[in-house]
Amino acid sequence: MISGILNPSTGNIKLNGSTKRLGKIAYMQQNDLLLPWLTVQENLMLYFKIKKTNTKNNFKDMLEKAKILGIEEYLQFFPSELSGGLKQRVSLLRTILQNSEFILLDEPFASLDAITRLELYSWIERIKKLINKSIILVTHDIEEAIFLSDQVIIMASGENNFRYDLPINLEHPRNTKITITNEFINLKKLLLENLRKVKSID
Amino acid sequence: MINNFFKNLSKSFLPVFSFISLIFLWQILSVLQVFESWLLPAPLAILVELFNSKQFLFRHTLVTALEIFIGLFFAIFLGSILGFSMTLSKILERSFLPYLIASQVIPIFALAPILIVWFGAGLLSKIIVVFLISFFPVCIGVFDGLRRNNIDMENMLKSMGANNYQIYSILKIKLALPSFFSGLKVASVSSVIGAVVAEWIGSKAGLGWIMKVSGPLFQTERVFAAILLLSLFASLLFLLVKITEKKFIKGV
Repeated sequence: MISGILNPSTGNIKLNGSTKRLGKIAYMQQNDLLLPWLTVQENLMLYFKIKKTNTKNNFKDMLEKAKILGIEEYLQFFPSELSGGLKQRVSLLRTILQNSEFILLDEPFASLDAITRLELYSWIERIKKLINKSIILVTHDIEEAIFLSDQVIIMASGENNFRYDLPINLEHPRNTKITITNEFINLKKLLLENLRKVKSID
Repeated sequence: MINNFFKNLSKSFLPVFSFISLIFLWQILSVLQVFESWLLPAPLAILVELFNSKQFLFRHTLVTALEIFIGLFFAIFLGSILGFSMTLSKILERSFLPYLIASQVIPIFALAPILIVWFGAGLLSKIIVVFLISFFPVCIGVFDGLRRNNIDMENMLKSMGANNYQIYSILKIKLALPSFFSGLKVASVSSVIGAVVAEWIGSKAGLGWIMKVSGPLFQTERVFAAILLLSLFASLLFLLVKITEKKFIKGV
């Protein structure tokens, strides 16, 4: 709904005052959704192909960011030849390359194993600084939420209006060791308590 | 290593070996005159016939090939259009699909004589038979393939701002290709059968015609030579479809 593919049955979702959101929010889903008949490079350039802005500059931009995410040596591979973590990294880069105001990550790590997931966290930390855009991350994982975000919002589903905001003031860039510091664990406790409240309100 | 070597050897060697042995056995039995040569000619006699009347045989192979290619071309062209249209419009789907399926129970053997009465014993009636027999698999292949959509990928393209045309050219057509080529493979084989059946029933040229007129004249070598050429042509046609498929379908 945020991305504009669907519209809410009641109320509005506005982006900078306008309800026209489709094409303005880069949207990454749980599945990598790489087109299997295109190479990694063609997949990455898909947005530019659709927008007919397949220029040298955009290609250079892609190459630069591919280097940061460590996928430049896989550009000529097909998605079926990549591991799950790599595919997700390509998908992440494809999302980032869209010239959008917002980036929406919808549980992008849900289908990955724990180690690959940690790896991806640090890739995100690395590229986040560079792109300088607001990112909305939807997740069910508390640690993931704390580790990656500057602000965590707990929302309940349905008619329930419960909402809880928690700013995360941990320093960037973060390292996975941070997850066992007292600060991190306290934040986790706070979030867990409030998650329980969601249920008790029902 | 050695195990692998033997595995590979047996994989490519055994089919060839069994084939050659069978032909060899056939030749020996023929030389020993176990069966009459006008009933079952020796393999060598067939090869000699193939060589001696190569111009004659080639000319008629060309006729059959032409019927098949033209018929297949129209089947692909019109079959794709109807298959595509049926995915766009429920009205078209409901008015055409049931009859398309029902039409498949009509044996081409029953239809061919009428078509030859209507369109003559020339090329046209054969092209129509080939067209009718290959239209269905192509059309259904396109229809089923285009319905095999991936809604998540479509949404992803939409969020990139893709228009309808781009969603078809980037995603839907690519997703439909495997199904289309499956249909085309079936069509390519049955189109050969269609052409021969039509030639058999009424024609003045083609490999089917050769089979029909050479049998009663006891030119069995010629019948076998025609069969050989026909199966060779069918295999090549199938191979051509497979190569084209490989070219179009990548990365899967």
